[in-house]
Amino acid sequence: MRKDSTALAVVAGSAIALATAFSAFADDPKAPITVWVDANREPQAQAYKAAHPDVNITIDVVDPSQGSNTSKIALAVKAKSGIPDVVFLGTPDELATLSARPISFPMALNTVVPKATMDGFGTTLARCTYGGKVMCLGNDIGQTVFWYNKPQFAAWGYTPPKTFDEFKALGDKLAKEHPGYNLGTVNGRYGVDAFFGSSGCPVIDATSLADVRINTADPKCARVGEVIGPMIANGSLSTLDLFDKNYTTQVASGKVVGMIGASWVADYAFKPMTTNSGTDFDAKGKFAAAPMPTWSGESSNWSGAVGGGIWVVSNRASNVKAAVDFAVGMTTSPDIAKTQATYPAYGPSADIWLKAKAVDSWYAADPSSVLKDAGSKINPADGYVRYQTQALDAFNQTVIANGATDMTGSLKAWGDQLLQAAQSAGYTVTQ
Amino acid sequence: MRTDKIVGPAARNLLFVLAILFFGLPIVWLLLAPTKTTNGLQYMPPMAFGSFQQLGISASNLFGYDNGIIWTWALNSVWYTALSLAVSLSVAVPAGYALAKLPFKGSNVVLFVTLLTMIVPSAALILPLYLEMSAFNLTNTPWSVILPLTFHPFGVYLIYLYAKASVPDSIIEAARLDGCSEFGIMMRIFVPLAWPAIAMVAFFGFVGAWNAFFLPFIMLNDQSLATLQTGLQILVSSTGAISGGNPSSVPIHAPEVALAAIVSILPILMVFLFAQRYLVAGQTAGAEKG
Amino acid sequence: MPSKLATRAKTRLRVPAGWGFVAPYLVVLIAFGIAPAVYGLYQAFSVTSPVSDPYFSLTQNFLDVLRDYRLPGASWNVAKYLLIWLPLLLVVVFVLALAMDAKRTKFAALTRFVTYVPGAVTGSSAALLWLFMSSPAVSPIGPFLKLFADKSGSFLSDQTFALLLSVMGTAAGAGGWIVVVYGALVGIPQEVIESAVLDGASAWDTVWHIKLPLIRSYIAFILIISLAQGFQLFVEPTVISAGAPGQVSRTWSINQLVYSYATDQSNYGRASALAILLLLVCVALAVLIITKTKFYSIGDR
Repeated sequence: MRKDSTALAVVAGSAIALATAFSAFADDPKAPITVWVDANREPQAQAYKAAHPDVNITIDVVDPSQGSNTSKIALAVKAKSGIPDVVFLGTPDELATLSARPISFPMALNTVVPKATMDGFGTTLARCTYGGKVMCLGNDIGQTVFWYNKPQFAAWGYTPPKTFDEFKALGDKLAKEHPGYNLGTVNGRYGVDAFFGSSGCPVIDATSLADVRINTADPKCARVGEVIGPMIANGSLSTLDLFDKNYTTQVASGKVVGMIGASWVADYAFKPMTTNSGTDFDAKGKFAAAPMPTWSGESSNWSGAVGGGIWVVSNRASNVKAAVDFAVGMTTSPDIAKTQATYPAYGPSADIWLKAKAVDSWYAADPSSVLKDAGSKINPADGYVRYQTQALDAFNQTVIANGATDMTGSLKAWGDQLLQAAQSAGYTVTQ
Repeated sequence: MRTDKIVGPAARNLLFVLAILFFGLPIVWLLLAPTKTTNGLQYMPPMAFGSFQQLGISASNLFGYDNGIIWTWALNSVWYTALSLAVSLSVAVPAGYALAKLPFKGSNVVLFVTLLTMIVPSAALILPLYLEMSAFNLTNTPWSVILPLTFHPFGVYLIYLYAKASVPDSIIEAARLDGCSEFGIMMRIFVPLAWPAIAMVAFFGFVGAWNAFFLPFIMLNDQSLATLQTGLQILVSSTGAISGGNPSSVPIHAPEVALAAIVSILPILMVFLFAQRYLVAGQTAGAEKG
Repeated sequence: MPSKLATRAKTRLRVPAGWGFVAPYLVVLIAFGIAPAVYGLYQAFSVTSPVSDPYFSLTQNFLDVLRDYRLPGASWNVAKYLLIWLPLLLVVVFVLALAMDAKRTKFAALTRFVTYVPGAVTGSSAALLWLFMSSPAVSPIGPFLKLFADKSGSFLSDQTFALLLSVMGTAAGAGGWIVVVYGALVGIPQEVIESAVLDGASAWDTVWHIKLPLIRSYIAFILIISLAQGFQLFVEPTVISAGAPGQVSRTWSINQLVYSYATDQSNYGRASALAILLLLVCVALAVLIITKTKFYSIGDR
């Protein structure tokens, strides 16, 4: 054991590649594998286990909240025992910490997963890739679209905005004509990932495990500020978290008439929050998906990504085939696609999943084509970084706290904190 | 009679009523929460009762989750707590007693170090404890939780303080002159006198072990070994029952979490009521012998 | 003759007897107290970096945490919290415990029970409970909270957060200390109080000159532990930010910053370094309290 770790430490840059090669040689097709999943994915994992009686699988149900899996894996790596073979990460930015030293956990999957399968994941692989090595497989994605209350829009004579300038104009109009109503929220990840992320503002733009691009003075950031600043000021955008009780009450009473939101927002926010909510409002049959508006100066209507889990295979796995098969099975199985809660990252699975959405009468219109289109347009500027939580925290402390009064100053303050957070996490920062 | 002169019974009872309102309000809310739906918690008056039907739904969702695994967690909590408490008590009582009544060279050092270990930020201990348990191949076994919990410095201190302040040296000296062994003195003289303190230490030890979170959270991966605290935390954060944002079809939402809260504090409250009898019993014993 | 022999036997016996009683405790103290703490503190000198090998440095981790942009804000937050919470906690604990001791009625016992209950609710349950308590839109004290809510409808802002945490910390922490202080008061021999009353002492006199001095080692203990708890504030802000994401920084307090290093960033070196700095403050205060109150010498008066 000790020998391995010394070897790993010596060949710094290529440690991961070496370990992969090493475990590929040491592959033991009979060795048991341990997988860590959250409670949501336990039934699927159990089903996989039942369908593969020849593989000895231990399923541990673990906490998917931020930092939990990273710290547990870091401890296991340090103790050199108890390292899981496959892990589901509900907060995928942890991949950046797991990939870096001293943990160096993930196995590069592009060498062990057939290319045809890899291709099915399409553009979602971009975030999993560091230096040409694919370190994860997407489980689901939270591509953003414009959700809106179709009958309400019709009644007020509004149309879904095609551009963000129209979005801002719509906000002005809404604030004037129907004060108290809003077009969604920009708190934390709902602002950073959906707005700044779709615009391609470089804040978590990791180019490698050690390099990141941060520049909140970039025009791609400024244009976001010019839209959301006035909208926060006139109340047409909220600064509360989507699940803040002070906001869910607004959703429940129909005050939220539109939102730049992830693919899961309709099913897991609007629907439960407005069903039997004790108000006259029920969103059933009301919400529809419109394509993302286009940022000024862009030719494509990029999408952001809010949420989405990933699967990671350990480079210490001794039964590589079983471990990789499990990760591939969990992401590509058609059966799982049918029961999956959120939009699958694997293209063919997404098509199966969308079939159910297409006939779901809860929606005001079939959202499938809009969701599918957005799924292929996630702006590649965002990546997984080791300072993700600080980036969101700093955003709330600066832009959310003061954005309505001094957007330029707030963006600069945010950038200053991002710079420090990134440097503290060991990144070389370029503009 | 004494304090009554300045703080009459009426004023004192008013004080108690205010305290009960302040401390009791969150609890009444918690008791009512499982009778409402998630949205009901939002639109119904906060202190309103929902329905027994909804309580039944909450209960079947919670207790039915994963074939009633919550009972496995509860059972784990019970035996981890019982075992660690038994050891920590039998370690803490003699130690606290001896530090107060049989001081030796270095006993003040032991006391100070004990105090220090109580104020070391626990985050600094995660890694070392894990490595320690891993070195003995104990991680992911109940022992990785039970063993560290046998260390209960707070209990040692409470026994020490009580022995110092409330058990006169003269009684112990007298017993010693009667030819009692040191162990006999502790068992036959000190322990009966110190029941209030021992009950208190047992109670706090129980709560500490029952509510322990970080230790089992770090040490255990196997869900069938989880405690009530860690099992629920994993479940709740998987379903986003509290903070949302984790899309899930597992039916564990706010009402179920509230019910889980009630289930997990019930044993504490029962032990409290039980221990409180000894606090009062100690009072008469103290009055007779003191 | 026999008594002299006994005395000599006793002095010879006493040293090993004390050790013998403490020995089992010493084992667990070393295994689960001292050893992990020492190793944990040693970690503070091991610098890990995502881009280089781990190396040893006496100062690097300390410099890194002291330069962290989050530390000044977190320190200021903890200072505000301590200033509100500690006096509030001590007043609530001592007033209630003394009132319960003044006349040990059933109602007093019930009050003691109720004051303890909120502290028993921990972890995810506490997150749920306090989330609903502190959201103006759904709280039982919503109308009151709305007076302080900002434009967005939230009560949790920098101005009010320390206050909210203090109230929460008192609700969750007072009950345990009330039990301890009440237990200490019950332990005071009845005859001491009675003789004071016979001497004409008023109720205030007995409280100020008899009861509180007699339990002063408890007071010192409570002060030391509470100060440490206050400086190491972690649970309350974590619980609230788990329930109300986006309202409060995840590193609002210093100890949350320690945990952020240890978990989010897997940097135990920095976590340990900041933990040491926190510990130093707490130890300095503990030593001050111990020397001021002659903590260890109460029996030798």
